[in-house]
Amino acid sequence: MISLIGRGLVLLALAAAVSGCVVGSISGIRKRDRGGDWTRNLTFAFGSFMVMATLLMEYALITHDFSVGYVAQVGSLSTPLHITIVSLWSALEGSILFWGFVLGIYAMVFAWTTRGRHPQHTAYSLAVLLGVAVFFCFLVASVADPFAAVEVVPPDGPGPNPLLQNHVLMIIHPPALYLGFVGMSVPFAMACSALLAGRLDAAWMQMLRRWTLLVWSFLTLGILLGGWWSYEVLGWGGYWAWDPVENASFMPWLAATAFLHSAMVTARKGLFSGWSLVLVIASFLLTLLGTFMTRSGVFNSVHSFTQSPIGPVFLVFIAIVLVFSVILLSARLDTLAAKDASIGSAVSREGSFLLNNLLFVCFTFTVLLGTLYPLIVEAISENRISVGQPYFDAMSAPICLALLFLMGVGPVLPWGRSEPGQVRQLFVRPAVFSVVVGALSFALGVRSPWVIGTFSMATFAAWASVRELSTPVLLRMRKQGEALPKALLESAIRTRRRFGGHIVHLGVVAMAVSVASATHWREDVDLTLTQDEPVEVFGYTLTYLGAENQDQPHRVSQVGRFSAAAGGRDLGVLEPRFNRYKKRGDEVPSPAVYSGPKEDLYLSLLRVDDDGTASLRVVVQPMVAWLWVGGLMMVFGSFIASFPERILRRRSSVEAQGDVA
Amino acid sequence: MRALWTIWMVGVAWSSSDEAAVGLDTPALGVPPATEVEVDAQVEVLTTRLRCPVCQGLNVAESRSEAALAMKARIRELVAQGYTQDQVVGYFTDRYGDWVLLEPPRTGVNWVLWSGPAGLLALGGVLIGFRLRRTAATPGRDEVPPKRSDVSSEDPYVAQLLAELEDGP
Amino acid sequence: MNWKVLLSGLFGIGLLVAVLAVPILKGTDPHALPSVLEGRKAPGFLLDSLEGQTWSSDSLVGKPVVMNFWATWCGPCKQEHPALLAAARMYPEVVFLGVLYGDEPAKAQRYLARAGAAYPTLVDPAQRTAMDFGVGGVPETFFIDRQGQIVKKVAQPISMGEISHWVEAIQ
Repeated sequence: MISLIGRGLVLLALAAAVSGCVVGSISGIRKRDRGGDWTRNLTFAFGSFMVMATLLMEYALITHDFSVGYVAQVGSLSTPLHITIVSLWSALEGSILFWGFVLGIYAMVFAWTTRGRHPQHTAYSLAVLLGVAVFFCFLVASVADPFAAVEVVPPDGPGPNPLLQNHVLMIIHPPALYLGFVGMSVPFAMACSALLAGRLDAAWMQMLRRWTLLVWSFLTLGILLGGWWSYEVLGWGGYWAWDPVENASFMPWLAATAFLHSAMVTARKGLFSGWSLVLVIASFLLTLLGTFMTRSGVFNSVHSFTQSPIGPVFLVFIAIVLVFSVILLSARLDTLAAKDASIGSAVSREGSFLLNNLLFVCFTFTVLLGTLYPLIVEAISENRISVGQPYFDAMSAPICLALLFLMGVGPVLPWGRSEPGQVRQLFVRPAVFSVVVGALSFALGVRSPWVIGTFSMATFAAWASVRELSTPVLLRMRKQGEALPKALLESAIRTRRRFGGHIVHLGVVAMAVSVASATHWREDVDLTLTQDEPVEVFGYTLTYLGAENQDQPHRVSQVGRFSAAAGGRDLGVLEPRFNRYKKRGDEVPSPAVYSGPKEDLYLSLLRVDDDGTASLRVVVQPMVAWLWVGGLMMVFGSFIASFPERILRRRSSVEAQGDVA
Repeated sequence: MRALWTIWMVGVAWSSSDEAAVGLDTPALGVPPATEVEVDAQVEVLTTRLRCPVCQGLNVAESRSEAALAMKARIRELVAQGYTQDQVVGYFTDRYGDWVLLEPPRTGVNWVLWSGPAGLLALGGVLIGFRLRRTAATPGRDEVPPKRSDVSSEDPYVAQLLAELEDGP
Repeated sequence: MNWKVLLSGLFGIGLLVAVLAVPILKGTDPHALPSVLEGRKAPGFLLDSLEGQTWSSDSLVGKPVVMNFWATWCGPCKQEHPALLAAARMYPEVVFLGVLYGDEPAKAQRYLARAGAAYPTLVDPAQRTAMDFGVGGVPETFFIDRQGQIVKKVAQPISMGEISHWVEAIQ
């Protein structure tokens, strides 16, 4: 029964998407507003049907209706309720449905916020957005159908993937990532509409920037949570392994970041508009590629699901979108670029943005090349090779250092030409500071040029951002006599793109310092501990207290209990464990982490023996907590920057000052 | 700086790494390392270069699996016997294929991988350079000058902020 | 219409799609390890069996050998076990050897007592021999001919049909 209704809703959504796409395209070509209304209504219809279908699936999951295919696949009577709710995205079919759900919400929000404005552009955008929706509805209705009815209804199911049940981060990581991935469709649609209409006006560019920034925030959050989860759950003490699926999420992020910077030049000077649109389209294409890489089973990765039929279908869709984009760009790029003058001098903010884009594009290309290279080799020879962490680290280190350097240069350089004397004066103090920090690191015993370089460049970048953040605040306090909190708030609101942007930059600086410190000073050892015998390791005293078995309805855990102390201070009991999920038989380890501001103590259980000994891996890494802090700063900063105009307009009767980014 | 990097990478790519021809029999061994510390150092490097066969892309150093621990022990044995880095690598690639190396050897068609990024950087730099030089004469839309002429500071950012403050809240 | 962008774009698309399509069309399993040792001489070994006998690879020259790496914690190994038992009985001139991988001899003995054993299982401490054979997981089965060359490695649970096929090849 539910299967039938569910499939019906998905088909209705598909019908709404198809008709909306057609009506929107015609409406865009004819520039008539009436059609726009229809397109908007059809968008709402599509969104509503997808939402209803998803809620219906949730209902089926919660009531354990095993006649529905997806519930039979991932549901189980013994799974706790909150896990059951999130098992919606634990396997392929449900996650594609979830994709459609998020797309529906984005489409409805976009349609709502653009009502009554930019009729032609909106019509085209909705048409493209619904075109993408057609594909996903098609997937859900045919190849990856979660509503497929089961012939023989089982009394119980195997439960969702154990990795989903192990940690709370796994619950929020997929939705955050989806908000980023699926959300890229909106900027893509907006960019396509500018190309289809043949013009990109300032107001549309403004909206495009804001939407991309919002989606970028979610993408950043999703990637951050993924790394955090990897650290807390997988037990190897790392957070980024350049796994193909990690790269899949990173590449659109890089392209979108490049866009956010080139867009500043486009908004300010009207330059690079065609290039900016190329970057937006590339970001979206990379999300499709990323989804293909995760779902097709072609790549060996932590995330890979078994090879499913959606692989070939996805590839066809990617090819279609690629061809569409290339044709659109080659038809319209010249009309947009005609207005482009060129930048005056390279030593200017525009110049540094140009270099920034070059570096980001190279970075994206490098990650793409490294990820696809094993495929290329296998296609042309019978060889199997790996491209792993050493390659990516070696390639990304110089690029990241260069980007850090630019972060210190770009914001300080003025727009347009600048006098050499002025430039020198602006950079003297940060340069001196950076050299001092570098020398200090050397004095403290650091010999790795990369680490010294990172610390120096981080100082350089931090200087610029702190200056950008503090100057307006101090100015307000001095000139307007405002108190610090008010000055901060006013600065944040009035120049929020710049303000938020520099908080993001400071977050990046924190992350760079964290990564450099953690990699350089990481210490690890495999130990066997005997019960009640304390052991000194890396400045901590660890005592094995014993092991216990915890029996829960859905899993059995073997928990090793270790008390930790440092410098006489008791840090509590850490409990690394093995979780064995009853239905599936998988054993998932779960490390225990003590996070301090200076360093992390990380325990990963290797083995528990009956004779009162336990083997574990102890890893101590400094500054890891700052990685998460830095990441959250990035998300926070980008939320500030993308805060919509209209909500704030109600705050003050006078229009808020335009941004000075 | 970019040029130097490119040159270096191209040089690296062109030099084919001459892997010692290691059969499944023992190769000609060198002198075993004298101290535990030396053995540790060599093992540390090797375990980050070799891939754990049963894991998803992790290196032997980081993986907790039985296979990785066994491999680590074997690496230690080989180093202690006097195997050089290349010989240990050769031991494993003989049995598992090039796949067990986390970065592909710098031979043959792999130069595409190793010099690709630097090549693109150089190419991009050259293209941008040409573009800048060609249209150097036409400047972009001029900077909006600060509304007040008494710019008290040479710092353009401060000047701009002051101008905005004068314009009103 | 910018023809340069169009043509180079379409060319790039073609390359990318081709690269991604090939593995789908070939149907290769990304998790399967390459079989580097096929066609080469099998590594030597000197191991003790669960029964206490010592087996050396030298003594096996001139006879066809089937080596199966397994463990009691491995579900698919238990699935293929009956096929191997039957094959061992069916081909008495072929030497069947099991090699325990990352497991305890006591557990293996208990399992074999329950499930039945038709050939010796060797104990491989520290997985030396497994590494020599390039084993990347269990079960893996190696077919070695009379000259000591590895003819085939099957890196998944093996069926009776496959065993027969490859046993014919090594006899």
